[in-house]
Amino acid sequence: MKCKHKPNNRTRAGIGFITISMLTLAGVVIGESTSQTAMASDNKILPGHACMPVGLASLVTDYSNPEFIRNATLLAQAHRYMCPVVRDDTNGELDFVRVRTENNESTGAVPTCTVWSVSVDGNAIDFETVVADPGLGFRNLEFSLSGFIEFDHGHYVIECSLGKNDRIYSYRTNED
Amino acid sequence: MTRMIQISIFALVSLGGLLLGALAHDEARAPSVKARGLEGLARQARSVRLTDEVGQLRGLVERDSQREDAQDLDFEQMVARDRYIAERRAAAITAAADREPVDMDWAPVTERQIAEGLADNGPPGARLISAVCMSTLCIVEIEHPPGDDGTGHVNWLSVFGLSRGFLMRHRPESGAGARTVAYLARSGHALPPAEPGRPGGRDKSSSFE
Repeated sequence: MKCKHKPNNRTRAGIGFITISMLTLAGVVIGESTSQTAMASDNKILPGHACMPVGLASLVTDYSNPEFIRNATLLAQAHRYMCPVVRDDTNGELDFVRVRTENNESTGAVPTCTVWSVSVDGNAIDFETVVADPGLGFRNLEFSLSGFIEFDHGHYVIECSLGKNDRIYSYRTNED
Repeated sequence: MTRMIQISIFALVSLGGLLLGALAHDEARAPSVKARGLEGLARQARSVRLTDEVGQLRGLVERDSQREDAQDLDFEQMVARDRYIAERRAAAITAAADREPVDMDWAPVTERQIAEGLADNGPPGARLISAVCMSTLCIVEIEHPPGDDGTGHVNWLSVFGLSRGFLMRHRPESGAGARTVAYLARSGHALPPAEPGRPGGRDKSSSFE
């Protein structure tokens, strides 16, 4: 004789509760993992080649080496470059910027970079400038960005000045 | 973003269903006073907690929706929003500067450095209206000559000698040229945000109209 167990209302409610809880938990886990993936993707490292030369720099900048760009001027003249920062989320905060540079001349200008935050109409601007320590060799220019303003619809750009033979290898940004 | 919204909505619906189920189950039982006891209190607490969670999830969904709506703003609305952020920031820095005492070892020297830097490296024809420094903050006002809207690129580090700043441009008014007001921080110090604990002082919930 078969004993057929028929679940009562209480059992059904319990099964329903467990099912919904597990589905909710699964949703939370999936959401959390998705969120972590998005955060990781907000870290961006761009080569120095993304930086645009300003004015005469376009005539004397060496872009031929995949490792870096170089101010190849013969006149010991510093030149400027504008390095774009891509925003993923217009409500995000720029909380980390680091530019990897190299100072190759003991005389003349040292690598200097400024992070600009510009409002959508360009009439309000926040900036922070970091000057490389004197001396030859690699210099990581890191920005504290403490209290750095974030405009909902504006943009960021990094401006760098390189002395003769100075280099930009890459720059890294992170936006929350 | 779309996936997050879907997950949020799914979780919202699930929790809402759970809450309704729990409430319906609770009502159907018509419990006696004795039967309630600790179990009833625990159920009520769980219901309250679930209600809170549903509220939080609803808030997340609304926030994501607002972000998407923000992308549909026209340019004037975007300008107004960014202007609001900038003005709040300027007001916060001005208030912070008003609260600072004057560092007599730093402020006069820095004010002179700013005046000389503007004369030597500033935008052509720019005139210093005022430069006031306290102990970690300076506020500098510059007037540009007629025909200059003040948007020309300037190496402000070489002008002010300070590496941290916030600039606001103001359109020409009757009898006066365009102005740039610079809010500057002493080396090693930050500009105060508009809202404590929030860089830039953005306030998503506030209105800017």
